[in-house]
Amino acid sequence: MLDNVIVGALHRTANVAMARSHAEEILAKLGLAWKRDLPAAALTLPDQKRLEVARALATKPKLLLLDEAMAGLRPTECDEMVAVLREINQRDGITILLIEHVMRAVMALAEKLIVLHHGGIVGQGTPGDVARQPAVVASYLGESSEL
Amino acid sequence: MNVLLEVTNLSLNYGGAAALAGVSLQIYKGEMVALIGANLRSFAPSPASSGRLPAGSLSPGAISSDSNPMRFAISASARSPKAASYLQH
Repeated sequence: MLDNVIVGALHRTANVAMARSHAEEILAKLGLAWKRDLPAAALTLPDQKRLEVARALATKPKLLLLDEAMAGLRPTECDEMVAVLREINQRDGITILLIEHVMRAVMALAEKLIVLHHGGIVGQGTPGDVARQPAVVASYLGESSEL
Repeated sequence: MNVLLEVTNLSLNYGGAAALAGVSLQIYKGEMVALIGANLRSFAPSPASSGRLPAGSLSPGAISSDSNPMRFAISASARSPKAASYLQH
């Protein structure tokens, strides 16, 4: 696991010792420090997802693009990932753009929601506002949405 | 608030289907933004397409980061120091 994150850190430095130190810091932030020596393939799905985020964070991004990072997670696991991403955004000030289908996570995290349909933007705004926009309800959320 | 990522009039087609049709959006520094949309089965205008754009395939339009234009005409340029992409499990 640590080696995976070091690969991300080496994006910013050629110094392996510095990359290792940064990778260890990231793993600690994400609560993965004690699993650092486990093979990535041996991790549970939630931990693999968290490792993906750790690897990306190790590159010291200004903007984190996450493509369906919640896919396959159970609701409680999804909530844990929500907490991780919220902390990254609020504590570290990293801007996050989520591309996500898990509405539980979207509604918990997003301060701004952009809805695409047939290649065009049919709605954007706060989650509460967007959920009431007729074009969004018709194209994506559906009339029975509880959002 | 400062604009961190700006996408202007971006289009992407898969075969005859428009995945992105002249999309423009702005992401401000510190924001947490979600992009959602239906993933259709075959001709899929998918929100995931927008995420993949900076990693490779592109179309007319423009992407800028911190007001600096970013060009991703080929996947090799997406490996520049300004953009990192990691495959997911």
